[in-house]
Amino acid sequence: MAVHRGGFLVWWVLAATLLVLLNLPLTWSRSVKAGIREALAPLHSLVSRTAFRVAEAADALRGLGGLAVENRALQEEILRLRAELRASQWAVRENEELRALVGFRTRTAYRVVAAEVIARDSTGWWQSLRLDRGRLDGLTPDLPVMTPDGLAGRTVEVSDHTADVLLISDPSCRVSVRLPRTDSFGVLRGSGVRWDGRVLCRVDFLNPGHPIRPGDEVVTSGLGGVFPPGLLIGHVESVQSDATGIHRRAIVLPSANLGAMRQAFVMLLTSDERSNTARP
Amino acid sequence: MKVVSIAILLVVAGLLQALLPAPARLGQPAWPILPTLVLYFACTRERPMALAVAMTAGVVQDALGLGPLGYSAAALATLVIAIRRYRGEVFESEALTHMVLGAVSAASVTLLTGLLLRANSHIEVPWGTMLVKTAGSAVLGAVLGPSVYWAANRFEQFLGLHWEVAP
Repeated sequence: MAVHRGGFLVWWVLAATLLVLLNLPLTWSRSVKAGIREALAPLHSLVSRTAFRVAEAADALRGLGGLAVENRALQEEILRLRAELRASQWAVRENEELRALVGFRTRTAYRVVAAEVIARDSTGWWQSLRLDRGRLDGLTPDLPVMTPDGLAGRTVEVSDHTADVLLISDPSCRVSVRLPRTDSFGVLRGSGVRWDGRVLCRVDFLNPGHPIRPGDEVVTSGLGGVFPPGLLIGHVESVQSDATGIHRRAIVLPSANLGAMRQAFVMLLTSDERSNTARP
Repeated sequence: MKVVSIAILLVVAGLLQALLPAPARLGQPAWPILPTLVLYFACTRERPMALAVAMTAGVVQDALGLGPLGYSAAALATLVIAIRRYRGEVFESEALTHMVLGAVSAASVTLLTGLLLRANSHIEVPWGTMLVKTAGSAVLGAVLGPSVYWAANRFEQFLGLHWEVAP
């Protein structure tokens, strides 16, 4: 009888715990997740930094990585300069097209926070990674995350010392993009990782009348309120018609090496810069 | 001490699972270290303890991903129930048993969580990708099953903890 009662109790506790977990309010659920991430972050950081230092030491031994630390600082500088350059190009073009516009807002250099990648998605269902910077460093959800080569993704869940980044290679990540050569607009979404390890994205809803060709540059359009205009995403690899035949679709190879990211730079956009991104 | 050893094993497993890169050729499944660790506890502990470990491991796994809490816990608890029901069916070789159980555990947890996430629109993954990922997970589970079982067993013996296969 006691055994039956014990067995019943186990099932009851199991069912109750599962029900509570599955129905936790979003704020509580986020708090629990943030708490566990915060608890594990120092260990993640320690292990990943150790692995990073070992890799750097190996590079140094090979005679290639003696300047690894300097390289890191330069990469940050390159990123800032590239963002400035692209913003300037966009502004010049807009000035030419919209001469009548008076009081055009001057774009300032974006402030970036350098972060190290300390973990990747542990479930296998998302293309995401975790950074060692969080709310205390000024990060919030929906901030653009860059590498020196191009856009990587956006922050989604932020705790005090960590931030999870949804990569542009994830099928649920959508970015409004522009192909500057043809001035075409479309929506980019991730296609995951192919069996050969290549990360690809695709741009849907492209105008079939535009002569898009392989090699065309793909940048953010600035629509959508998350990404500022002009951030490099990648280059067109191939172009095809979509299933409906109404639009064209481009397969895009991201410039950022999303599969081997060790560092990332989060762009801290002010509310002004955020609202600026929403204009066409 | 037993609880502390379980906590250490869960933390190490969660740490490794989030650090190891997912192999692209297998459909990018995560290395199923937590599921194979739960398998170890399902085989060596009483049911209440095994279920508690499964729930904790599930919460850790969900907390380190972008999904809601509870899906992995549900999948791992289901795994414990199934393993405890069928663990009497073993192969002659202990390693082969752990290999098969590891493969089945990893694949079933991957598939179950994937189905739950997809049904609730948390992920946008085609069915083909889901099947490839599940198969890849089975391969990794077959590799990790005996290894994790051996490592966890050695760790507990190192700590001087007495354990025996639960009835």
